[in-house]
Amino acid sequence: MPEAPTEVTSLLSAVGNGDAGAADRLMRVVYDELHQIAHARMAEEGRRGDLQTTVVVHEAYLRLMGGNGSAMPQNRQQFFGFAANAMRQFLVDHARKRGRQKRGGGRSAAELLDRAATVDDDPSDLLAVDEALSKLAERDPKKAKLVELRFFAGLRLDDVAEAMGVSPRQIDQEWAFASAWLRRELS
Amino acid sequence: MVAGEYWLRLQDAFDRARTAVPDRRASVLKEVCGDDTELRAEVESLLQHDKTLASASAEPATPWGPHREDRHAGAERWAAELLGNQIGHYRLTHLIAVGGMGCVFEARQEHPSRSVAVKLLRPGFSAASALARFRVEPEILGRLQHPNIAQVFEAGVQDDRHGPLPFFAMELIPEARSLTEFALARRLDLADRLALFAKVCDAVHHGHQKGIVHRDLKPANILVGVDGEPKVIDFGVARATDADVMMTTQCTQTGDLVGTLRYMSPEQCDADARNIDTRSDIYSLGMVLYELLTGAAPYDLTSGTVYLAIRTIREAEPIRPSAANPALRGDLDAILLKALEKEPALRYQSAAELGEELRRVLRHEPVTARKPSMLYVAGRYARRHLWQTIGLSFALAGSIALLAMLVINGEIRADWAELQREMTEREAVQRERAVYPGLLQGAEGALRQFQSHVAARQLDRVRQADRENWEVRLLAARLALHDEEIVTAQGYSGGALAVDRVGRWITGFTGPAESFQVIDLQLRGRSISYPESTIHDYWLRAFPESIRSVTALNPTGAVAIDAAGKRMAFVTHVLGGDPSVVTLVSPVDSDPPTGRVWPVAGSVPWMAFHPSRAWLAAKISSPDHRHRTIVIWDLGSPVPPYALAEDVAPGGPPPTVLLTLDAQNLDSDRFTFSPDGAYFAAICGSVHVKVWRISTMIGGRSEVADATLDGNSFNLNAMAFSPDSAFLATAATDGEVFVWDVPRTLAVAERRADRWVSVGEGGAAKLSVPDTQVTCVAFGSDGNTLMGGCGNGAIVAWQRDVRAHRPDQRHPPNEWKKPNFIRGHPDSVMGLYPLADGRVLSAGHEGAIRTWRPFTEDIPRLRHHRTSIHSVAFSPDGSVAATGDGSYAIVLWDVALGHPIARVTPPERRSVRSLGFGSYRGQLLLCAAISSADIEHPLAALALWRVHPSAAVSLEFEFALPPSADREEGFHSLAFSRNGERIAAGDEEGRLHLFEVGSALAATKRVMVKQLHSAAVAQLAFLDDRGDWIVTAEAALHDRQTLSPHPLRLTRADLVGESFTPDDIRHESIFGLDVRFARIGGSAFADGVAELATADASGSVSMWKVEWTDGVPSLHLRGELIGHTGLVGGVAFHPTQPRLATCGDDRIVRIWDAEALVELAAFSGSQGVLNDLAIHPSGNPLLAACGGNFGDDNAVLIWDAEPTRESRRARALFTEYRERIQNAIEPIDYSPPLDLLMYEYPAQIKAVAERERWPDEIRTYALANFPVFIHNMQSFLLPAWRIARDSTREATDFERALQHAERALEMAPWNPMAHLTAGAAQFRLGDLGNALERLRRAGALVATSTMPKDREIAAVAAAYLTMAHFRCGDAAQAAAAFAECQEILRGSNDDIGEDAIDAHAEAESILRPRPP
Repeated sequence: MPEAPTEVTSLLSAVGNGDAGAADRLMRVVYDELHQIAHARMAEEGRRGDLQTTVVVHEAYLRLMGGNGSAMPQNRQQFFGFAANAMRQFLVDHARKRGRQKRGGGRSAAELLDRAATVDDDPSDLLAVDEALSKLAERDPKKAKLVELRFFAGLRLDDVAEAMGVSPRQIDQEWAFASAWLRRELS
Repeated sequence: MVAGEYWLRLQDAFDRARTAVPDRRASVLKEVCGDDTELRAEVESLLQHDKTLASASAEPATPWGPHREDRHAGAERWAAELLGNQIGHYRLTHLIAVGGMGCVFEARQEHPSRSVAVKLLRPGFSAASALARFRVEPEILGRLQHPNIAQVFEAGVQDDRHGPLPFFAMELIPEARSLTEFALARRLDLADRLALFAKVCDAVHHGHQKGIVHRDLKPANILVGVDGEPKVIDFGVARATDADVMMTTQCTQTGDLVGTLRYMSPEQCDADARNIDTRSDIYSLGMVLYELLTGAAPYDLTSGTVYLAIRTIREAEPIRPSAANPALRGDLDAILLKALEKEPALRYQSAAELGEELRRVLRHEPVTARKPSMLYVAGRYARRHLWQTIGLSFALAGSIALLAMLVINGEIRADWAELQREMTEREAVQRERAVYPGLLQGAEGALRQFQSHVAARQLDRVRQADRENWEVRLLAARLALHDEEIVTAQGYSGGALAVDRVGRWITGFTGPAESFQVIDLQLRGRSISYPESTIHDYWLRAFPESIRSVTALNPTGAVAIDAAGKRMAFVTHVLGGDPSVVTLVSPVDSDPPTGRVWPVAGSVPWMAFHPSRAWLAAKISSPDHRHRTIVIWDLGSPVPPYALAEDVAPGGPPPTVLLTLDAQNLDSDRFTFSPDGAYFAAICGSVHVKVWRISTMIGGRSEVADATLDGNSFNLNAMAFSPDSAFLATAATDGEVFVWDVPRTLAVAERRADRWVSVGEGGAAKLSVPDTQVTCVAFGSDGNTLMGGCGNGAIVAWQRDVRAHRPDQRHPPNEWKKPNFIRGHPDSVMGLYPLADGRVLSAGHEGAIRTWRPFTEDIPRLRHHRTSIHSVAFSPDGSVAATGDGSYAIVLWDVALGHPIARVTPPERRSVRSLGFGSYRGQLLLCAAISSADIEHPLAALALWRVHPSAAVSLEFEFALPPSADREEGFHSLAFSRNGERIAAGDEEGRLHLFEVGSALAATKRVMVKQLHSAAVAQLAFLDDRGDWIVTAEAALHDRQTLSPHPLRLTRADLVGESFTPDDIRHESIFGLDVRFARIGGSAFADGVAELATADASGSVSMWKVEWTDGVPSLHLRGELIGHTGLVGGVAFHPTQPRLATCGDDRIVRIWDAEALVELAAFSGSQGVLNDLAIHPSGNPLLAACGGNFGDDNAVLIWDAEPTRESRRARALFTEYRERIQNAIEPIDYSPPLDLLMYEYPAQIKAVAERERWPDEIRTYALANFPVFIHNMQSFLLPAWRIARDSTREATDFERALQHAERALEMAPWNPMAHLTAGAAQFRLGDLGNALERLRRAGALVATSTMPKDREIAAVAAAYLTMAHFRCGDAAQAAAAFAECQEILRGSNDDIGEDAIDAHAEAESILRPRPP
């Protein structure tokens, strides 16, 4: 069940070797860690305002991968894939639980796509994005992954390009398409 | 059509239509979609939702400045290509201006959403040094905050297909014009122009105070917006250095050049950029002002060559301004000519002085530029007292007039004397205020850029009277990072040097006379010198016939020392003669030393001893440099006792030549033997290293090396073997260092015909140092440290990443961590020599030999937190510091040594918002505001611990706020009264809680609660010693719409509780607050407070004076301190000096003069935002808590003005070993059997310590304090669960599992797995009541989660609940729980782990036992 941090690396390589069970175990480890960090962060970020998902994801990376940010480029890419998924799951869970305290006002769900998701976003908007993204995933899982990395994990587009192993130019194109598609879906 | 195919077409059509120019979009769409109307409609609808297209068409262009004449067609094309691109966080929307060097765009930033101006430097125009500056600048930019300086948000480098593209984003000034154009367009009169320009002077002065010289002030860099406010742009922004400007000017046409040169000061026209200081900007200001007031230039630069133009600037007298504009005659003539003085010392010494002078003109006061004469002062006086003078003149005549003249005259005299005195005083004060912070900030900047000579020079210029100031000592301590200085020689150029492996002897040509010297490191002070004359005489006696015309001995040859320090060799050669002399001496055996000497034809630039055999290798260059050989001499053993004295046998037999290598083909400069004596390695042909096995080399196949290492691509400077000879490091001029795995490399080479091995094949690790070359390289004595000396004087130390090292591996892994940099020498480092005690000895080009601890940190850090640190505090006696973070609670520190000595985990909660120490009846108390933001589990409490002298901690009292659905944080702030009897705490809802500490600590009780604010109480403090008055400060939280009108309140701490709000509150919210106690004796309140400082989210810091009337305090605003650019989280007064320290989100610690209210110094170095700071009760050191996001940023930074050698050594050692202790503990195998889990740690530490040869003190510390290092909850949880799930275990195992699970729960009470594990263990032990509670809690925590992992936990919890209920005899509950378990398992298809399946099976077997 819970995995020691040192196992993350071996899980990642097991995932790389096509071990489906490893992917599942890894997902739990990453989710657990994100969950913890996010709550810790929410406590401490209170005075500053919004909790940035990027920060949580990067901190999870450092904690699970052992602190040396420059190591293991291959695993780094994989890791962010998992982290984006876990972060999305976390935000959606969080939004569901928080649904009763909708804060309202402000931006529309479509406008959320301009930046990375945060824990403080309107729960209903977050859920709307999640739903639209699931629809996108049915048509084009790769673009959905891109949005997940960009929006839920808060990666910059060039980091997304690195994580998905495609050129920044191609990512720009795909992001333009995916975000236009989602915007239309959300408006 | 298949959906997938349609999707691809849709994407393709969208891309093409989107990237098409707007006019062509329709035709592109038609072309791509053909007659597929569905596709076309969909693409169109998507295009409508495209963000960039929408924003580009929606916003009109904003003029930002005049478009330049189209002289740079290339630049325009380049700029046009960039339009619409994303640069960093900015999308370029409109081109504002384009020039030869780059262009400016209006751009859109998404987060925060705003329009900015983005300036880009054209590729090819950005010299390497400019690129390097782009990386440094952001730290400087944060310091500039002035209404008349355009703020720069970010500077960076974007990788573009043309190469690196430096850019910076700055404040957009709508409808900006240049200063001169604005004045022209608005037809400003002289007074308006002067007033406008005085503001520019203020802005430039602000920059100078921050230690930044603009260097490029010109009208185009001073913009005026529609509001008429001038804004200086490009301040502190990377630009080509002056040398670059000179280079550029050589390549451009004269017409362009004049524009560049026009405003440059004479000293800027010199190639030597070092002479340029703030006064250069004064000159440029003078030029701009001249142009602003006259519309002309003081020199004619329009004709002639660059050379002539520069000469004009440096030599020509400026044309008197009044020649162009007669209105300037008099004061302004004088002012402008003073600003334009060729000699910086004759100009105004600060921009503020110039600005003040212009304001004097506006006020008709005498200006300092003119020598005060009686008539001049009288004239000024008359203008100021115009009506009186006129009145007097008219009213009085004759004798009365004479009397009146005398009166006026007397008044004028008095006025004049007063003026003189005032001016002198003001100037002195102004100069002091302007120069002192500038020096400190210059020194701090230089320190960060490894320019220690610049920093030293800056600090040397600080007046003697200021040398003892805290901020000066903080900087001076950073300059003196080395352990000791062994040799400091002026004029010595860092000649050849050698140090034995034992670390006892240093030999080399050192000292002013460059005589050969041997220094005994163990017996300090003992050194043997062989002055030139001795060698000379001896040499002549030894070889009387071979040389006739000896002029001088040139001691620049090689030196070598063998590993044991028993033999030393040095080479001298004779100017005017061909041969060199090798002198072999042995300093240990005899005094005077014995030796041996023999001649060599040619020069000997390099020598090396074999570590174990009596071999000496030398490179010999023939006198005409045509023949180069490497010779290995067999010196025989023992060293023949040839005394270096008069009775030596002249000549003596030269040693046997063992081997001669033809260095001609090898083209070898430097070589070395490996420490085990098995290899010989040589740098060959500049970029390759060849390695021989000694066996093959001596065996005869010496011409062919066993391996050629093909790694570095630039010239190699140095190489070094690791002590175990397993690794070879090679260092090059491009700053790259490769570490080769020697056995692997040789094995690969063996399979190759040409014996070449590339980096990948040789398993080489690549390390690099940015922006400088690595001149020398050395492994530390334990082999786990690699050090490099750099061209910029820095010493870099890498630590081997030993985490991956398994005991069965022969060699440690070739993986290295991020390096530590220390400022080594002012100039390039010539040599690095490891000493046996872990230190390293370095020789600098400037002549100093110093010793260092390679992991000494410039700004030492306390590292033990893994998340953001919120709060830091010293105990009242200063013995302990405490830090609290967002998830792993509180750490107590031994500050002097930098060790964590205890970790305190708050009960059931995690985040520590605030903490404080109190001293109550001789007991040390620690209080913390702790909270959890978990939505289902909101908790907020105040906890009080007693800290025992052993650093053990016991929880004595706890106060929890009642649970509330909305609550996220609870208590925000707390403070102890000085006598330790009261604790004040502020909560999130604006209430103040007051506690009285009980005589038995557990009897502490809350005595008052009072609603004071409408938002959270962010900070509070007691205003007096007795704790009768409390000041509370309010923080308006981000997502709350209501900003309180009462951010600061004074409250009386009794049950009656009056409360006051100061009248003049400047903050909307307050985050930092500190009170300064001034002990002046007298009545109860007079013994209280003198000052208060508050700080807010915008970066403003306010200073208040506290005054007491009839025992009631009132606050009076003294002034504001502007400097921080973001939230200020920490504020602290220095206990003994009038200093205030602040820190915040801009990552800078600022030191202010608390009396004069000016910023004195700014310390950067933190990689994360700074949440809090504290100053030791003695006044030193200062701790700042870093809330970083990544890795080691979660550290406490220490600024220490008086680090002792012991504390420095301890901190460096601990920095080096901290991770190793961690690494020794963390990878312990958690697999069962676990009975001895806790006993495994010490055993493991001992094993690792032995293997890695840890120093004794580190081993002792690690053994005594290892629980401090276990902060991984999983370390407890995983083994506990493995036991608990296994029903066949012994009861003692389950007890242990329960202990571990409870420890995990302590760390992570939100973790469902921890509850489940504890519940399961309790069930196994038969503690059914508690088991049920725990298991229910575990289930509740995951009830709504859809994560597979959580579903599994829910299933397991249900299974264990089934069993527990069944054991309790509650069959109905058991059946219900079992049904739930089955339901979860069904719902989760197949993706459920074996834990759930096992638990389900066990529950089933209990519930429905199968018949046997």
